[in-house]
Amino acid sequence: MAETFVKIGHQVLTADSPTVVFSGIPTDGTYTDLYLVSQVRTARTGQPWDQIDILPNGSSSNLTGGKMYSASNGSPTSNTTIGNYVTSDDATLGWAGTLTVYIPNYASANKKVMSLESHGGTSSTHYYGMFYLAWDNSTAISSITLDSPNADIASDSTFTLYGITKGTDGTTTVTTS
Amino acid sequence: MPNPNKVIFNVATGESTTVEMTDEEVAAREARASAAEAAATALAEEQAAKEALKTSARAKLVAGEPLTAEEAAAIVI
Repeated sequence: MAETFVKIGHQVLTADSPTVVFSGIPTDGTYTDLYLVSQVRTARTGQPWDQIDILPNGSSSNLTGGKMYSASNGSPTSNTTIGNYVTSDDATLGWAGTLTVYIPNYASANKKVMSLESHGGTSSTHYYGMFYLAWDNSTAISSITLDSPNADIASDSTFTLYGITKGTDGTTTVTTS
Repeated sequence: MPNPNKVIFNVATGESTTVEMTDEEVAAREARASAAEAAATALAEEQAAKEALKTSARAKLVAGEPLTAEEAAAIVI
């Protein structure tokens, strides 16, 4: 049985960098969906959160989005910016924020949609949220750019990209061996 | 002063490279940062205004005073 949930890229930053790119993503039908799992911290100071932008093929053109997020136990709020939140400057706590991105049908010639979840914060304030992005472009996604416009993504931040192959019934099967 | 570097991981080859960002990429990320900051500020102001309406509405309810339409909308789902 062919594997259907495959790690295709793994990156651990060895130095601070504003941008991390996964390039060369196959668009030949090897995979139908992408799933990015990351643990991220940025070097921003003065805020418990920071912004990471997800840019398909490095582009923010025709990219729209929305988010619903909350700080600690506060009421959820929402807006339509395309950034999402991860931990910023609280390196002394020894943790980083989380960010996951699911992109079904990433090689489609139609509009692509993505769902994202993230968490970040400090020992006293936590930001967490759910997001969507819609990219109205007929080009297959062959690269994913994660960009932190306010401050560098900190070293030791970790990104793992998985390729998913849906079965003929449209569902995904995860192999165990 | 050189532009910052970006890290590129090529899934096809497994190679990781560091490349200086172009001026266009730097300008684009600065624009996104400004937009996000403006959105965050607007959201904070909106939330503060809503909280002020709720506080005022609660005080008027306790005092038995009539609410404005905005105050009523702020506390009635």
